[in-house]
Amino acid sequence: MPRTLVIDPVTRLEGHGKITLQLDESGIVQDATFHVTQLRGFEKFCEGRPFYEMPNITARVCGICPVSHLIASSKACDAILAVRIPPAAANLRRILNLAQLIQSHALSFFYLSSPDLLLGMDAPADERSILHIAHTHPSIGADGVGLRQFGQRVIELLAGRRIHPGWTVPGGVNEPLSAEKRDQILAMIPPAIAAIRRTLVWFRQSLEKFTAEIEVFANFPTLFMGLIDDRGLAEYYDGALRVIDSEGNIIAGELDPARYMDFIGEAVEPFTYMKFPYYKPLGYPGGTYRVGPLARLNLAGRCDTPLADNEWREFRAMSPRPLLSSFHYHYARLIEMLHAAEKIEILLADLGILDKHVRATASVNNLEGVGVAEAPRGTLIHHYKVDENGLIRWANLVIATGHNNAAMNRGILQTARHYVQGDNIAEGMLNRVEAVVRTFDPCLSCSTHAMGRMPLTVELRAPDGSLVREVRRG
Amino acid sequence: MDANLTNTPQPPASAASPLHASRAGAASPALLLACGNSLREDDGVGLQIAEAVEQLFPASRLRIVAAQQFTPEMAADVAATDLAIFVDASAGDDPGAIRVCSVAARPDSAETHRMDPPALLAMAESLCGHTPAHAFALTVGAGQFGYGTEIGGSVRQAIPRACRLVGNLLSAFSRTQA
Repeated sequence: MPRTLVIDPVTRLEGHGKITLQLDESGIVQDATFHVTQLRGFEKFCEGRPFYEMPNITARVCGICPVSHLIASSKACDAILAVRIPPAAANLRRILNLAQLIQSHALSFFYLSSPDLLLGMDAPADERSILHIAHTHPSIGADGVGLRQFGQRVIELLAGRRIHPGWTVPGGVNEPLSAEKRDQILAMIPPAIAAIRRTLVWFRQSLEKFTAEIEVFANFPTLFMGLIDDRGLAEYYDGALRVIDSEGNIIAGELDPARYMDFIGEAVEPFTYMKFPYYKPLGYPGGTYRVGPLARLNLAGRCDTPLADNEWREFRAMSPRPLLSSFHYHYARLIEMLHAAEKIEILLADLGILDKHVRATASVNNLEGVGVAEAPRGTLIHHYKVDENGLIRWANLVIATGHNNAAMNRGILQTARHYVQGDNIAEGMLNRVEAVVRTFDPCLSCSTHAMGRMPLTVELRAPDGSLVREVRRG
Repeated sequence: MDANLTNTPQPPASAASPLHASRAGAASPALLLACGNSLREDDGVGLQIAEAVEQLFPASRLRIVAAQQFTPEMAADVAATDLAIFVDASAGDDPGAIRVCSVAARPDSAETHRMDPPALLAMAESLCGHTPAHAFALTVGAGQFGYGTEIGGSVRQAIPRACRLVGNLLSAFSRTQA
């Protein structure tokens, strides 16, 4: 009898998620769909607000990535002002964005995924937590907690608070950096870099234990999209969008992010209100692409900092083509953290970073503005239209998790087909289906809205909707 | 295989950890950790107590950390003191009722984003090899958790009393240090 398996909610994600697996009569997975709480309403209730409020309003989309929204929103507002912000302000925003990347990647890698990586996918569910890791692997736990603390502390020193800081504003930032704070940040960097390098060592050594997962965790050809600088190197704050195919061919080299609507389309599927963005010239689903750490390291020429470049070369040497398995998002996150720490040090070493001129002022000069930056999970786009008084008439937020939606759904299907078989619902099987979603580190708080800790329920349903079997945990 | 990749409990993290580095050289005053949501009415009482206490005691005597929730990153702060006072609203008590109780480490929380005081103490022990000699939870009964920044009358009236209790804990702690 054909049945449906429902994993609801999915755990150790940013937000609520539910997975539905459709089984055929022999218990083979025929289809898989990923559901999230699907209404936010930010774009709608922002209408009528002054544009300069947008950074602080949209930062409330998420408690993990407020900085990413602050930066994309501020850039959209810069475009409405039609100003070029002072160089020191641009670099301070870069540092803030990189600190955000470190704290978010540390959360994803250590807090959410390291239990799977250190204890194994089949470990008891009540042991798969950062608290348990702190007991069984205190050095690794301390590195993880310390790296998240490092990123948050940099944000706090720059912007006054760790969560929802209001320092980034249209035209720049609202306060220059003091030498004292710069020196405090610089002093924290060497231990942070050492911790990331230690983590890379043990993670690389553990890769061979996950050969099976690497093979089936969203391991298929897609396009990859992300920002690059004018040399084709990894870029997180500015630059052009590059799209490559699964062979590594550059199919779009320097797309203007402000014209994203020309090349990004949004498909719809009947099972969800969440959109499925795709690269327009290839249509849907052929234009399915991935964003985020794996995409960025696949498409960039290199990272542009010495230690991270060495790691990037080793990473890319694993395949002559782009790495296609989403399991490698974990690896890419570590390399990006290393790059971010190095880059922060480089930016702080420039005396210009202490420049007191950090904000350009103007009134409304454009009735439309687009701001694009690389958030930890991928490309983030804010797009506003205003009236002549600067009041928001229309807003559109394109979130990294949304970009990855199609690939995530396909990845769940691939993983479920490999691990899920009929009535034999083992804990490790459920965890692997969740773990493939976790590799993307989806921020459902951003792409939709949710908060809190989530238990897990798996339901088997007959075609008539009747419940055949239920497995619940958490 | 790296020695870290075993399930055997290991010694606390080394001093090279960034967790320690961010607090290197800091003095070790008593610590007040307050949490709550200032936008959910009475839930913000812990934060208001933190603000009030900040006016009463110098930072050299009492370090204050206020946040929406307790998180693992606070383990280093907890490990760096011998008196930790956790302040929060309590949904289980009558509005305005104050409860002070000692807290011990308990490593059985599966949370990843937020922690309760026993779990935070356990994490401090695991990661930093130290927990405060004295740890207390000070809670204030809360009745309203709706949207809004206003705190109910009986809860608001409890704030001065809560501050005095913090002062008592500090004084008792000072005597043990003398």
